[in-house]
Amino acid sequence: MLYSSAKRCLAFIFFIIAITPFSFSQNIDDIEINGNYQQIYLYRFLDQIAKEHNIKFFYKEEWLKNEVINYNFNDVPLKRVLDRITATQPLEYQIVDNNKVVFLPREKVTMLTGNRNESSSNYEGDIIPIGDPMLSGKFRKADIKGLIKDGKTGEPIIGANIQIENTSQGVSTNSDGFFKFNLTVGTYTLIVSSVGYETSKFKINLISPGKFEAELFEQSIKIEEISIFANRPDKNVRGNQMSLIDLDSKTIKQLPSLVGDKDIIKSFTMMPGVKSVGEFGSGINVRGGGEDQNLYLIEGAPIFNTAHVFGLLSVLNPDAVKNVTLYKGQIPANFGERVSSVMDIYIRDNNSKEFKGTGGIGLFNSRLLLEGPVMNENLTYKVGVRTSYSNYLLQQMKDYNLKNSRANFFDINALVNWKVKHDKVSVFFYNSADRFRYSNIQDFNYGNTIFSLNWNHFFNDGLSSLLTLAYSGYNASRDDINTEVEKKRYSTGIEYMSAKYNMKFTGFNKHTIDGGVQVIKYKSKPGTLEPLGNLSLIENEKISEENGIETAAFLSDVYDINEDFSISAGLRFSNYMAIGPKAVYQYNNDRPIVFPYSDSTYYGSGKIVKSYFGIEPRVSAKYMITRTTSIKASYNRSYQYIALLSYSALSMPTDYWKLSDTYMKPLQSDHYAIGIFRNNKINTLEASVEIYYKKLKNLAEYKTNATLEMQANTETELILANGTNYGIELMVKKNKGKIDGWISYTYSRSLRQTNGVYEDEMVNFNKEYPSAFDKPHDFTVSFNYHVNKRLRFGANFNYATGRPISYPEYSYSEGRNIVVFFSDRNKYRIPDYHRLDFSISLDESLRKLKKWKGSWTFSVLNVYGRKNAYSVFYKKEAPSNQNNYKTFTTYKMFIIGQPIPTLTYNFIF
Amino acid sequence: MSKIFHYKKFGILLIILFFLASCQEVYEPEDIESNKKILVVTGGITDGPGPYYVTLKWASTIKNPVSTGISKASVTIYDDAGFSEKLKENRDGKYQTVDMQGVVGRSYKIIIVLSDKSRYESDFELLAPPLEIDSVYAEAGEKDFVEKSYEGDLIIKNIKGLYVYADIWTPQTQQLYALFRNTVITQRTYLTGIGQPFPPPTVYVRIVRRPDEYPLIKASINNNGGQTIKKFPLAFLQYVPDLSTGTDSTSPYTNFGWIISTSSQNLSYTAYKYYENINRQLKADLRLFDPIVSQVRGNLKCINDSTRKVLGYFSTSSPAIKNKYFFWFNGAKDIIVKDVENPGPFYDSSSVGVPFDYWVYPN
Repeated sequence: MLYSSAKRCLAFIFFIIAITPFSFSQNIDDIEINGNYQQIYLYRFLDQIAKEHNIKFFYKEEWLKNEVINYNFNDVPLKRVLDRITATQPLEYQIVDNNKVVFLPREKVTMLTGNRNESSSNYEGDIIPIGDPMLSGKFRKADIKGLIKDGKTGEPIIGANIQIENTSQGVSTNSDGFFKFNLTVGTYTLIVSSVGYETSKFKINLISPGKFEAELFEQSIKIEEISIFANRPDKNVRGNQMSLIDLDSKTIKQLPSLVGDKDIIKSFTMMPGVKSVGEFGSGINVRGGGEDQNLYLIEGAPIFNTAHVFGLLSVLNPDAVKNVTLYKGQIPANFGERVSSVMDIYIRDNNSKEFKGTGGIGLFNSRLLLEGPVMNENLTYKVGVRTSYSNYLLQQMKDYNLKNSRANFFDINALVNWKVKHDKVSVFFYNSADRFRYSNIQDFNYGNTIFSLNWNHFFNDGLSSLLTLAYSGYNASRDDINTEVEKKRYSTGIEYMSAKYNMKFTGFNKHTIDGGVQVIKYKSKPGTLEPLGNLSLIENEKISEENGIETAAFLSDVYDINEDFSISAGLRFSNYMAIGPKAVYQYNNDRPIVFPYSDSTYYGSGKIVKSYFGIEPRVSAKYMITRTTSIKASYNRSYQYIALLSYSALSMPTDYWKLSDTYMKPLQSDHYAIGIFRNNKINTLEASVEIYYKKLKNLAEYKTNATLEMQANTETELILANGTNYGIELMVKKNKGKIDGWISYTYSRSLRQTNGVYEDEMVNFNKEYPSAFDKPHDFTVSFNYHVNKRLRFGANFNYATGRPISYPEYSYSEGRNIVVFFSDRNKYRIPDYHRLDFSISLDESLRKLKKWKGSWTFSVLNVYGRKNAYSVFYKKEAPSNQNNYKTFTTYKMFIIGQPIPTLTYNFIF
Repeated sequence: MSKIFHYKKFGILLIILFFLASCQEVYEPEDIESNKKILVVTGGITDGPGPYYVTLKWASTIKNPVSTGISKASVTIYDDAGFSEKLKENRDGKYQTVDMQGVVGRSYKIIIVLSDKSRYESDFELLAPPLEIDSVYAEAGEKDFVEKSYEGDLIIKNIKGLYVYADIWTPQTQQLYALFRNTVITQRTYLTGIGQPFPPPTVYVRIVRRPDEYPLIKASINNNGGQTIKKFPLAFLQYVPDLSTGTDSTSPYTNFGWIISTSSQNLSYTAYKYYENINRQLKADLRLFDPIVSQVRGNLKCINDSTRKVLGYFSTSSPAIKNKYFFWFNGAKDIIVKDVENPGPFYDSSSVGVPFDYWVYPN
């Protein structure tokens, strides 16, 4: 109630300021008032002054309509006049921009907890007692547990900074908006800030352990430039975590977009250690790992394909996302399932105060998101939809292949939140559908369905729990429609169900203990084949489904030994069981695992076919070398019981997820990292160096000429290889100022090696070779120039070594055909990649009360029209004058071969 | 209305720009290393009368697909009964047997020693009994294909014709791997010497084509206590309507049916995988993204250096032949089918006035 009233007052101020941005007025300091004003209504007096001196007064009529003044002024400065008037009236005033005066009823002003004005940022409000006054003197030190929320929407604010004035102590809020401080009892001033919000100060008197809750309000006028990262300014140095990237929605907003929408997942490829195989490829590669080694969690549920239209856009509606955290090395013990990274994606909390909408209209697609309270602010909803309309545009093409192609997608996400005293329940649903048809050759259809339920319960100040129930389903099909008699549909998919119970205890001094259990059930559908059309001669075929159960228990403790030194130790114990029905084939020992098998064993439904155990230690330490420099180190072991089988670096929607079994052993990763992190004193400049070394065991590499599709005996087509990934990541980042941005450079290698006995089980005769994601040099420059509060220019440049590829080296005749013989695997590289993008953005209006706010972004991708190779391939052609009488011609395929301008309109209402 | 029109055009313009921008262009990787000498072996043994041929060549580089034969090699075929024969070189890189006769049920291997003393050897492979086709039959149908117009536009064309299929069933329980090879002889006639004394003579034409774009292979499935391959598509016989031959002095062609000669072979699993890999490479041409990387290895290995590559396949097979005649024209209700004993020579030929001995009539 208090905040809502204050909020309205603030809103009023913002509104009145915003509606008069361009008037030319006299400076209030220079104005002197003369005249005799007797028995005159105050509002009439103000009108007269406003007209004479071209300044503005803002007030609600009801506040002044009965107020009458009796004054005689003789060259009295206006400020003194206002002081005299408000001294006898129930009003206060504030001067904005030296030419606007805002009146407010006094009782409302006292309710405001935060400062409203850049020039008067010191709030001298009441002292807020924290703890039980009856316990005064009993504690020497005490914990403050707090929550920072958005005063307008009620959403918790992630990464808000809580700094103790005149000290270097500070913390930032976690993903639920909570923070915790351990302080000597006494009086402090807390400075609470977050990007896009007005900074507020709160005087507190810490008596005993207690709670603190505050709301921040959006900046009415963007006083400061937007930071690149919405973390506490020195989180990178003081935080325990390393190998971590946080992107919040405001940061994402400043990134370039290919077709209008911001691509949240691809945005990470501009950060050190995160790459993508190509401009149009789905997913990301983290520190040399495959795409399948990343766990993408949306509200606790994994998503198995993150790409719309083969990677043109990611599956996430950017309007719905609050914050994305990528753990690329030091993965907390409560996460498992994948070895390279965890991308934890949080959906924005629903607006609990009012009905709101956001959306955007782009070249290929549009989106709309609606949210608000259902009956009261405890029960809220959010529904977002996106759809493309590229089909219509494709049909306008003259080219036969394009005219007969289809590329469209649809996705919907919905979040319902229910909050009661000690509980918060959220239900999330997501569904996507993609279609990509290339002429009369192939037609892909695929989609994700996700459901999750998160129940947060707060037992007491120090103990909370989170129960997550998650379902994720992915189905994909490819129709081969080129030849009537061979028309067929190949389908594949996976189903995932998980229950996870996580408890967090912060009751011990300096410790944060996290523990829990998780059970996951996998069902993989390796493939079905069915004929299409009456003429098709394809026979129905189905490869048996695979079932597996993964269980895990985890416990971790972050121990802040002192202000400078902290350690984190965690252990995850995982167990995986391949479950029947399943036939396990045996092969003769004296030869490679190749067809035909010598014997087979059948396991019935529910029988354990194979079981694996994994002990996964996760340890890290941080030491502050100076007040602005820290050194951090970490070691992680993790196991992965599922792999995406793909022929090449560019995964297809119909690649299939294979579960661990008798032959396919779990992927094991040992990851070591050390880093130095340094900021300048005011945290506007950050620098970091991280070195990592990763050893991988049991990587599923395909044999030369492997057949993975519709393959019942996958073991005959795969080789389990070892991997070594290492690298150094350098980054310098500027957070504030007219120009902000970062420069990063990564040198990394991602190498593989088989150790087969037979030639059939070797790749490149067991010599070490680069993986498909090995791109040693990667250099990125990204910056924004803020012309004013709404207008900014942005530019991004990226250079990367071309990815490895195998080229055909020889040709020979086989019967009537000429065939080629490829080089050793990944012997060559496609040409190096570089691209410059440029954008101009006009952000939405700063007027807080404006109902409809629009923003425009004009961007040019690939400014200098570089034809970056996506792939290099050959074509066999009849020798002719046109191809210099060559049988084989090598081509490079590029996705964006020239500058691409895009214009996007986004709106909020 | 006018504004909407402009927006629509603008949108289309942008997407066209996007799609035009995504394209392909010729790219010449400069650093391709293809300076190694890689042996390519082709040939094999059958149960038919010899001589049997084995060709040795060096693989050509990808940029310059000209291969040269390998002379002065020692090429010997062995069977599992202890018999062997050294082949003699009859011309550059082509070697042939003199006395050897393949026998069904025996296994054969080849050993090659090149002049640099490198030794290559295949595993023994069984010369399996022939795989007889039970029936070859056809169904009328149509097929779409895309071709370029004179203006360079891609246009769809619809053609009529016959789909020809094969059925096989054997009582054996072990899975079969079949390889089919087809030769299609199209019979046509036309009248020549129009304007000459009546009746003008008929010209009989036989056009011989091998329609298989890639090796036609198929693995059998269990059926009725045996192994079967059912309705395996062998070829599409394109019906060409009576079109002018292009000269003023002849009448239009008249369709006179097709003879399809199908050879079927019983492959080993290794040979089947070899052809399967060849097929995957040949069919990968239209792939949108990375074509599948393949190093199609045959059944030979270098004995004195395991890292040395050798390509090709030494095959052991016993082909069975089935010849069928089909007659059909667009609009006909029935297809006329006949067994053919002698399909004639497999080269293009024509005969004026007198039909060939092996000319097949529909009635």
